Amino acid sequence: MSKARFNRRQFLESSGRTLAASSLTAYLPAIAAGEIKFENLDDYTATVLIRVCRVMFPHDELNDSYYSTCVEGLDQKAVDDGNLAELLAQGVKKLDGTSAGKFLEMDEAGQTRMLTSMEGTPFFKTIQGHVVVALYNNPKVWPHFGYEGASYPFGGYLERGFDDIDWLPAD
Amino acid sequence: MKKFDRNDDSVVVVIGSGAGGGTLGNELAQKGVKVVCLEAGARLDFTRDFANDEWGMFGRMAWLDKRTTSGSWLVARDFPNLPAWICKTVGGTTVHWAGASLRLREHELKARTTYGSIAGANLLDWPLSLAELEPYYAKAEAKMGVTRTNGIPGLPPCNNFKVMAAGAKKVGYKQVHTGRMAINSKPRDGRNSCRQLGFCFQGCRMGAKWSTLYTEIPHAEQTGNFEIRPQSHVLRIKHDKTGKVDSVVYADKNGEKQRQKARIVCIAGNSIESPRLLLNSASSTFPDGLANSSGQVGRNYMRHLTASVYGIFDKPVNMYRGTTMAGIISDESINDPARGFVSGYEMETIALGVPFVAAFLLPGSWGRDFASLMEAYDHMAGMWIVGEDMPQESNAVTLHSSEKDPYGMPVPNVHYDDHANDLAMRRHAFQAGTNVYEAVGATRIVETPPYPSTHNLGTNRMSEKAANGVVNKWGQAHDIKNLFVSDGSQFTTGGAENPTLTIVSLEIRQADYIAGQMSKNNI
Repeated sequence: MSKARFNRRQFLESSGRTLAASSLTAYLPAIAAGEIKFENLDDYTATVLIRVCRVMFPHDELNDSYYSTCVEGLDQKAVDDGNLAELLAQGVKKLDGTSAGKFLEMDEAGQTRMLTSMEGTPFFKTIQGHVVVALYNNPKVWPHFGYEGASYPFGGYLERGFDDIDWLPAD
Repeated sequence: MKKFDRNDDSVVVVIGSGAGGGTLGNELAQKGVKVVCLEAGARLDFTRDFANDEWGMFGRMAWLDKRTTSGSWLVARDFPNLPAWICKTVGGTTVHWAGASLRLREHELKARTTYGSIAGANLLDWPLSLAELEPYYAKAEAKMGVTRTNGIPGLPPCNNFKVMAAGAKKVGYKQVHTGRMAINSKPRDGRNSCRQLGFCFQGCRMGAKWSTLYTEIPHAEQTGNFEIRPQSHVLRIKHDKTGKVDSVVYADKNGEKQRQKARIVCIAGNSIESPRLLLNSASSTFPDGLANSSGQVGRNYMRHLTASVYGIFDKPVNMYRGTTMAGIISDESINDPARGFVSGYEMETIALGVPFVAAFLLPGSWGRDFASLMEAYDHMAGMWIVGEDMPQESNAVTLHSSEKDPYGMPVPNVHYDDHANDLAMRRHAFQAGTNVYEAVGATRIVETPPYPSTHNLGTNRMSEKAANGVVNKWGQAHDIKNLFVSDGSQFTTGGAENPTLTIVSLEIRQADYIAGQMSKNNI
């Protein structure tokens, strides 16, 4: 797949690569210490959902803070949608409630199987529809994908590489 | 700015301010005809309100009123309440369009004659010829500043186009260039030239792309004959005892119902709202809706055969740098039934930012495989397929049996099933696009299903005979002589060409006709 480029390397250094392979437990202290607060979701539900977000859209070089931000967005949506917190809490219970054990204790393959089994449910579709926007519409993740975002403030790309491709065959 | 009284029954009411309504309104105003233009959306200022923000501008400009879908098309699965990606704002979908300005071809205007009888397709020849349209195409191209016409140079090739063009050359395609675009390659008409921002879909922050928002509408206002009322959502068209339309009822920005009298009513609300309005205007005289003696209002809904092909390469492309639709391959836009289908398709570059690629590349996808595609975002090149889809009577905009909008009017349902010809063409187009990208080293290909429709056509179609269409060759309702349809819903068939240039041409022509008929007191 794509090779690391200068802007991506820069990004990785600034985002703290040591967290890249972090397991979810790295976030439990943050939640416990009150650094991340959820208003409508309990800490355990939120913690599981952070993992759900990552399994849905796994980018190993993105640390958990980006996925946590997605869940914070869900938590905020629950302010206006009285049923959402319950939908999410019940969904998490289902993820935990099979003979395969607790969701957080499964490996990624097991977690993927669990989510696949819930595809099409309101729980799954709500999270998928939210996260595909919340994760990729966050300008902080764009450098990871090599995307530069708004160009008008910089005068567009006319003098900034709109035609700089150099590897196409000459003939 | 001119204001007309709501009881002034000498005005022409134009419903909608996009390519159809904005153009018609200005053309009439220039001729001294008094026009009240009712626009459902709000008025934005491109120098202040347009941002390079995909979801942000989608939220501000897109038509998000409730709509439902049915049928086997993938849009009903992927975007059940968003059948169309069109705009509710002054300027309509001309704020969002990418600028491709292509003339219909002779054979496309004679679809029934050229393609013959196709099972399940409700094909008809247009009641006008290319020769009749050509002078108006020329006027539209001059008005809009279309590149490669009127001595206007083409736009320079960007990365995304260069990839497609290099592949096209390897494959042997000959008709490849940076397009006929209504985007200024040089300053023109008081507007800037393009600075390759990208974000054409989000409203051109340079004003380099033609949009009625900052061309036709202010030009019309300068005449003193034109009033635009933003946030005026038309609910119903009323008629008198003789069956002529005489007024429209609309909800103003406060949600209050108002009635504007009219000498003539022209509907340009796009191919979902226009038939919906005619159907919602049913009366005891017209129980099936206005202008619907043929039963064709809302039927023959077309949306172009769309699909996209994205190629992933070992080295960076950075497709997002530059215009969204940056060039075209036209070699497949021919009628060659030996390919296994009638009619053809254009291949045009498309580039989306990370937020929209995530949502639209493979809707509903997730997991490692999808994430790996996103990881390759900056190594991706993209093209959009615009092909002619078959008109089918059962593909229709109808009124929902129970769902109502906040004003109590039934919401529209959009039903669409792909025709076998559409499916065969899409398969061919996916392969053709794949060939182009693999010819220059694509390591992976993504076949992207249709986005919500931007080219909505045919639901009030033109016909020579009143029995099989809604309007005549001037867009005038067969049943009601002071009622006109002034948008893409007039299209008899869709052709394979992006429709805006044809809509603008038809409206310049329609304005001539309406002004002439008014001066003769025929309407």
